[in-house]
Amino acid sequence: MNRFWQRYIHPLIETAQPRRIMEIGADRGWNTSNILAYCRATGAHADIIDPAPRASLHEVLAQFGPAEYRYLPLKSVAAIPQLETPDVALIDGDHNWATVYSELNQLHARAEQTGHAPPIVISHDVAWPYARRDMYYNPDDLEASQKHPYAYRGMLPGVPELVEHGMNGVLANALQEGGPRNGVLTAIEDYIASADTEFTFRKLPFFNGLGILVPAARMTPALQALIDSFFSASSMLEACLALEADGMHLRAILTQTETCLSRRTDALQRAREVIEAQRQRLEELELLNRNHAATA
Amino acid sequence: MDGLRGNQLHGWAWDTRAEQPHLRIEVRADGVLLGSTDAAIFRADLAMAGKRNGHCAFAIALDPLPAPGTVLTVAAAGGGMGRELTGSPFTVPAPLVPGCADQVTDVLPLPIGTPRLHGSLDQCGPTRIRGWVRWLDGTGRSPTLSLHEGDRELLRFEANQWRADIAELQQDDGCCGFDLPLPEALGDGLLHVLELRMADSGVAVLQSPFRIRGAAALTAPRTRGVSPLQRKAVADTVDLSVIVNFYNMRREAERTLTSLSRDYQHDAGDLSYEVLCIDNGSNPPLDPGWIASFGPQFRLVRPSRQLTSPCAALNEAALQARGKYLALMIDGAHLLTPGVFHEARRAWQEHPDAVVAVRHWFIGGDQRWLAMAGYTREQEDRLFERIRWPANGYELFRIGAPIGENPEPWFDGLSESNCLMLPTALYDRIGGFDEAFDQAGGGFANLDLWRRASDATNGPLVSLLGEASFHQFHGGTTTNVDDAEKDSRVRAYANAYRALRGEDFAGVHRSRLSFRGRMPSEFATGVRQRTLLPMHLGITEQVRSGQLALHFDEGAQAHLQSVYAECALQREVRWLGQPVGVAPADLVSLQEIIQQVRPDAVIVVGAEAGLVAFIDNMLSMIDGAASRILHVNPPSAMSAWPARVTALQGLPGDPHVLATVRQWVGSAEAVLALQATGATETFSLSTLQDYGALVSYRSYLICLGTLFGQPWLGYSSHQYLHTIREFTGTHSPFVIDRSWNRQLISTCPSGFLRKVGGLCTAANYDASLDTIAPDQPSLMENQQ
Repeated sequence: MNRFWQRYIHPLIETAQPRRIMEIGADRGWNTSNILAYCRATGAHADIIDPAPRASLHEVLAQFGPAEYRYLPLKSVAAIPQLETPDVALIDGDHNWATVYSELNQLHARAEQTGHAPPIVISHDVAWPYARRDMYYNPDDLEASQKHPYAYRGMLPGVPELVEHGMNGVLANALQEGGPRNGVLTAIEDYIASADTEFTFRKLPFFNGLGILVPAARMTPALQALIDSFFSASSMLEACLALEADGMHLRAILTQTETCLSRRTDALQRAREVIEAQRQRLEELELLNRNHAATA
Repeated sequence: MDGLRGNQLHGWAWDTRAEQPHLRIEVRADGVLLGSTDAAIFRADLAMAGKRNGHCAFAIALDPLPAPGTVLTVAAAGGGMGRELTGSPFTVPAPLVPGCADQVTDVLPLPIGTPRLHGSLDQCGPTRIRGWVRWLDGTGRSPTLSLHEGDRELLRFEANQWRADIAELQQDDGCCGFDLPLPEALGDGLLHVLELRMADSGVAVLQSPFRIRGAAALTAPRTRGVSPLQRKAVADTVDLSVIVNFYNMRREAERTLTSLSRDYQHDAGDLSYEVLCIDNGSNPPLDPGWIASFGPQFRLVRPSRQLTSPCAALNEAALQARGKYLALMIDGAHLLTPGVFHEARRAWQEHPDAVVAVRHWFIGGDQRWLAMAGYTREQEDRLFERIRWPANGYELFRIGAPIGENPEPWFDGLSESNCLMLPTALYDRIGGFDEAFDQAGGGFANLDLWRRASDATNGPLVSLLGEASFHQFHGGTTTNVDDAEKDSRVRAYANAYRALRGEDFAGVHRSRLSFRGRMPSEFATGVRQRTLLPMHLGITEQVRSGQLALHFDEGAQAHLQSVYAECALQREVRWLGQPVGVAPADLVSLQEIIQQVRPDAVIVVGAEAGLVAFIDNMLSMIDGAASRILHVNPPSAMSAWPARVTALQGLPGDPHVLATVRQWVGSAEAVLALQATGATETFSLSTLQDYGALVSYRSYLICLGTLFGQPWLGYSSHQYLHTIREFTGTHSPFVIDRSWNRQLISTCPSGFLRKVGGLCTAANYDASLDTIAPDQPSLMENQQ
């Protein structure tokens, strides 16, 4: 989500001018750092929610103070009902239908209870691979009826089933892509369909996808113009450049990995030769020993 | 410092250089000490971040809260410069909303901790208080807590409710939970500062008082009232008015009206009643003469307005009703069993204000699912013919199934009744159906009516046993559409309900219900065990994806597996004549794992000989000629091991055995390990760690025989799961891969552990490992 900050999220926040921001899923704190810098500059306040962040989040939080944020080491569905309605919510938590649908509904319900409009919601992972497929960081956290059959296997674009050597095989991914109650984008669409509220929903379909959901009550001409501008030809060209740079960066990493693999393969080959040499030397010594014993 | 919540200053601190237990944190303003505490509270996120195993958080109550603008210094005690925490000095912020600085509630859960007990306050508000607390010394006594506001005791309770999660976590009886309603005094919507104490000693069990807001202010402003109905007096009253709503269901109406007739309903000969049949815009319309043909008490009512929601029509008909009691049937596709009127009358004889609810069933089974498999109205007609309905109305249970998936069809809580019978005065007082539910079919209007009636009545809520309404197959709004469409509609209905009532819908809990009736049909019980009348449907050709958990819940699976284990059926599973000790599904899973991982080396600890033979055969079938098997601590001697098997006697955790195993694994790239459960010396966290370390990335450590009887009877436990949870906890490269347990019967539940951590990337690549034998350069030279 951090890759969307400069070109998309920051302008959205600058235009919407939120006084309260909620971040669900802080992980390493990369985006948190941006959010809190905005809060420090404007006097806004952020609720940062993540039950199991990386260690570096605490280093990020340590650079700011209570005036800018409140950190909640809770699951989002436990935290949201207790918090004030944000103006903008950034969602990048558990990437599955049940969680995202609950988060959106809870935000909506909380807004209704307190007489506010539902927040502007900026969601990551509305494109492949988790737009139409659930992923569970900790499957045991969800009830059986809230999750699809899953496996710790990877994904390939265009392949609905999981494959052993696909992407993100270290995570619990739903066995099948598509179908009802499956994936982040499906959750957002189902929320929009079930809420008796008018929304504008647009999605940027790259870098795993960014969804921008604005309730009519929070839409302004400036915000509408900004969102529309994200889809102009020039903006799309900029996106192409960013994607190309990202692709080249990955190519570089691949090259580095291939270099490492080649070196390690060579090393293993040498290891075999060393072991073989030692084995032969041992045989020679044993033979010498036997001969020595026989002649003694 | 993390910040100020209410009047509590939160944060964390520890000294990486010192071994001292905890840091003492002090808060000062202008040098005056405002509060202090040890940074010793546990927080999971800090544990994950490697901060002193998580035991380094603090919360300091500031009472009174210093004025906005006050500069606070927060520092570890006993030090000078450099002991001040990041985030200090801290300025008490101005209120977010003018005048409301002290109006912020605390975010729960809050840890409960004293030197003698620990636990968690999980929820307090808007209507309930919930959590758990237990003595640290393991005593079986239940702690008694009290909730205070200032000096006033609001609530006193014992923490003695059983909680499955705590039982599993603590490996004891788990009877240390509490979950009860908050006192009415807190339901004023105002902010309350509360304290939780030990009831006997008065010692506070939380770090500081906490702030909550009761229910009223959150919900009341958004809760829309329903105006009472104004009824004109009628002279010729009857005992009961049945109001039944029809829309394009002539076929279904015929059976429904038959079931409401005097001939069908038992003991209704002396009951004065009328049936008002609403035709809410059917095309073709229902014929009044046809309606009247069911009896003199039947008459057609055409609503004055045509709306997609039936609520207005039902209210309009209700105002025409002459009955002292009303029976409301919002969906005319439901027909009744023959004792409904009789049981309702008995209930009203005992208590005139009783609200009587009839539970609902499907004809044929889950009609959404059956429709996909070829179920039609004609098929349904054949079912009715087979039971010769209406000769014996209770035969409906032979061809029906409860709506909903609860295995207990009679005693669960109740969200809705499709034949709700209540005093007319009560119906009028609560305003009848709320016409604001304007969705086609009425959305949650029927649920809402039941909920409001249950809240408003002075009488008992009577749920009938052995009597039911049965839904016939037709084009209803939610009962005859596919699961996805039904889901979508129900979500929209639920949101519309919340918008109207200011809270999510909640059914009536079973504890509020009274039950009355009898079981005239043996088919009304044991619904999972009995066979419905056979019928040719293409069900076996259909796949109901993603619904397994709904139709065969975890409790049912645990029961099935326990019975399997207690009867020791796994001992009857053999491979080439030798026992394997696991269920057939586990063999198939193992086969798939071997095919997937293609291991060079398989370590088998304590498994049966048949399982080793099975692995040997599988390796042969995948052309794993070079693959090897090491059988550690084999339970029985074998006359002849397969050629690839090496046997190693000794306890798996013995250091010499482990050294031999490591040496045997050597440079194998793909390593699979299987470890049989048993005594703690053979299966423990330590042995899992030892053998897990040898498993290769994305391969498995399979724990055999983790199934262990029925834990709920107390003579068994989840002890293996407890060990596995410890092993797969924080920072473990292993996860429990439950995808191998989907075949319902496995003797290794939670036993398939996959290694998904420890990946080598370009970023953490250690180039120094490329140098072979760095301390023996001469060896390399000799080779040249």
